Amino acid sequence: MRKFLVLQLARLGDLLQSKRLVLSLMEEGEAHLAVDSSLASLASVIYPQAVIHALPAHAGNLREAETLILAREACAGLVAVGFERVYNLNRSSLNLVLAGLFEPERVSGYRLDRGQPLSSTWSKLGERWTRKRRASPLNLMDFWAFFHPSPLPPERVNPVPEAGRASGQAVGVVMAGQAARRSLPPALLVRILEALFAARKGPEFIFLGGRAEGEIARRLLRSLPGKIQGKTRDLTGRTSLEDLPEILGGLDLLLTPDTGLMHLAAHLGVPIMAFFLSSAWAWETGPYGLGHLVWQAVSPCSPCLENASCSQDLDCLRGLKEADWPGLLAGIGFENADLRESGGLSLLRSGLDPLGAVYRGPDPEREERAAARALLAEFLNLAQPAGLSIPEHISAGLLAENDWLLPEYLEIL
Amino acid sequence: MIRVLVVLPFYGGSLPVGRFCVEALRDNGCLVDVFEAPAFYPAFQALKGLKVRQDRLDFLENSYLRVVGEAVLAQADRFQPDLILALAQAPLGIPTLKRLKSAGIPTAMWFVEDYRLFTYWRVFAPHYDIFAVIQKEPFLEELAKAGVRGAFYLPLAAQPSLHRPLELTTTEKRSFGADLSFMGAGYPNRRLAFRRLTAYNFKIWGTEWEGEAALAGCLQMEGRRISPEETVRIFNAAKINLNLHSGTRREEAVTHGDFVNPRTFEIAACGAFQLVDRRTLMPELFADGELAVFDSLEELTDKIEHALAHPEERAAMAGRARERVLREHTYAHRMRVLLEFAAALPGWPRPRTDSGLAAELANLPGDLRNGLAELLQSLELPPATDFETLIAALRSRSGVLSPLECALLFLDEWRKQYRV
Repeated sequence: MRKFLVLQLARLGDLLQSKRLVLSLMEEGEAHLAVDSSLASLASVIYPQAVIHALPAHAGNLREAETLILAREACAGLVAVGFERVYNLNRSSLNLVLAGLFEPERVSGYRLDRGQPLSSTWSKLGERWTRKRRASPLNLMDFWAFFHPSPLPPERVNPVPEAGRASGQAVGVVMAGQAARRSLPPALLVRILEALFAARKGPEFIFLGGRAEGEIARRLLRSLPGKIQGKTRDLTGRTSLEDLPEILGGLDLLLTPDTGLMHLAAHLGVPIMAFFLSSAWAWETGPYGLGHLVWQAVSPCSPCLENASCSQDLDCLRGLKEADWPGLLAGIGFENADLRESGGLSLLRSGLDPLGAVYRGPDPEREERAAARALLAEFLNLAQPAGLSIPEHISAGLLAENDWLLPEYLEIL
Repeated sequence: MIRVLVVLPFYGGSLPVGRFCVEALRDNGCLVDVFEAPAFYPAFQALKGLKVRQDRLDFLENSYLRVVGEAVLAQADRFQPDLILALAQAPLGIPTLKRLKSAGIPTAMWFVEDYRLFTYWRVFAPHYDIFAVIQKEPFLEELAKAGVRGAFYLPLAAQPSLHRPLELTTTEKRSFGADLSFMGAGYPNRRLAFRRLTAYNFKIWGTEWEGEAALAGCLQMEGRRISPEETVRIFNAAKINLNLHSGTRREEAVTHGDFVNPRTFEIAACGAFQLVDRRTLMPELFADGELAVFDSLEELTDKIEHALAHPEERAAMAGRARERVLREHTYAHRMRVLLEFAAALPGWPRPRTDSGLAAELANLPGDLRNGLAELLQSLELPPATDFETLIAALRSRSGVLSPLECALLFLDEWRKQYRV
């Protein structure tokens, strides 16, 4: 049987965004995933058909000797499998070192060739468009999927959220995003929950988050009217990673500023209403599938670098703060949401096209993004949208000279 | 463990010397990485095939040399050497040397050239922290006047792993054997001197002998470049190895110059006999009775006759010369002197952070400990090597990683995230 390895040592969201590639490989043989030890058991639940290899990538509490022993064991296990092809999805030093276990000719993505880190042409294209993130043409799930020459059609990646489920009564509320600036301020979240409670005629709220979010949840709960408090369960700090699929799977809607849980919900077919602030940008890492909703901050400074201090007085929150939430949520349905932009905030709905995820709604970079997607479709030998011309600055920005000047780059993946 | 990055020249006589330095530095317990400038040379040569105006060619060559300089800087940044050793003609321009200085990496050049012929030393010598030369006064004084602080005399040497007595096969003896043999380039003084020796069983090896009809019958292998391995066979096979130091003036066959060429040490290390022209710096390197020396062409002819008639004298003298070289004149000796000189630089070597990881790794389970010991051995590192040195050695290595090598590099990256 043909065997393939995906090296994915990053976080939960990245593990889930590798899904289109992993499923594509499963169609051809046995897919293996090398993941951080903390995600190994959840990875087995997400990809029950795949073989999971655990590495102590983020186990900072281990002793050095333990890390070495575990890493050597895992490396020996990887080498013993005899992979036909290895997909190294990240340029991180840990990933590159692992890629060094294999002949560079067998590695797609980021490889180590005679000790020299090298990126494939497709990886380089990805690096180029991240220089102008605002006009990012491809979702990360699709970028990774196209390391495979003919990935699975996008509609086969995640289940379609069940019609009508989004109006259901169990609403998960994720307390915080990966960084503080991605999270909704508690007072704002109170307004949104009150509006949703009214619009949905009293659903049950389930607060989700780690132990660190427990205090936020308790304060939030105290700020909510008694009728909502009575219908709220606070699970912050009480769930393990392994519990999450079951908990999320039972939801009718997930409200989240966090992309990790969002991708897990999308994987399970749970309708999503996501809040993308600060560095979060739907066109890069938005929910994958049909009909999810994203409130995307589109102020001129978006998306920003979340580790740089904000010089814009958190302008990305302005639209959320000014919004008339009762009015916005009163009639909102996942089929008929009024996709619009107001106060630097766009409401987007996820969709799919032959390349992958698209986000319909007010897009500040619509033309540039469309042209870049057309260029990528041509590059990948997919059907192009008809009648779209590609401005030179876009083609020159994405296709660099050494893509076509050096024979070694003809192997694009 | 001291780390040295050796920057080789594109090509030429100092290239094999550079490679001997690499081996000798390792023999001195250093961790050595090599900048392989010869790999960059074909592209540089290709520029000369463009047939463009000289100013365009200059521009292109300078641009390319800048790229090569950047490549040296990148390698130095990765390897973090305690010292960069450049051989004469190494592609290190002044901007590169300045940037290395500002990065706090000391640079040394071993200028294995005749300063009277290669006068460009004036330009770059002041930019090196150490400038080792094969001549003494007045060169050292000239260097001091030019503002060079770290100049010192470091004569050439032999590399005993290559330059050694060999048991030659019958075929090799037939191919390389001769009563008289000379291995080297056809400088004008040699052409003049050797014309009078054609009556002997005389073989000449090496390049740049074109147009010398009188010696055409002596020239071997159509004057092609001879490899170091072939050279050793030539030295071993000849009854008498002629060693006439190069000179550019046709009318002066014996130049009575100062420095002693590498051939002197190499022939001696092979345990082979040589007749060598006298040099002013020779007495402190070899004693009477260790080398057969001549001062004139007349004396050369006399000594050839004598040596051919007295094989036992030849063997005894060759044996003494070899002993002297092994005792004092190997590249390992030279590199030890260089390192001692470097040790006098203020604050050299810069202290490195020792993770203390070696102690923890000593308590690994048996199979892993054995694997680590084998890996250190394969990297030619001592058992007590610190973790940082082991990682630097692994990163200098090419090829697919073994699980243990990968795990060690993985641990290094992991430590950068969680410990450092």
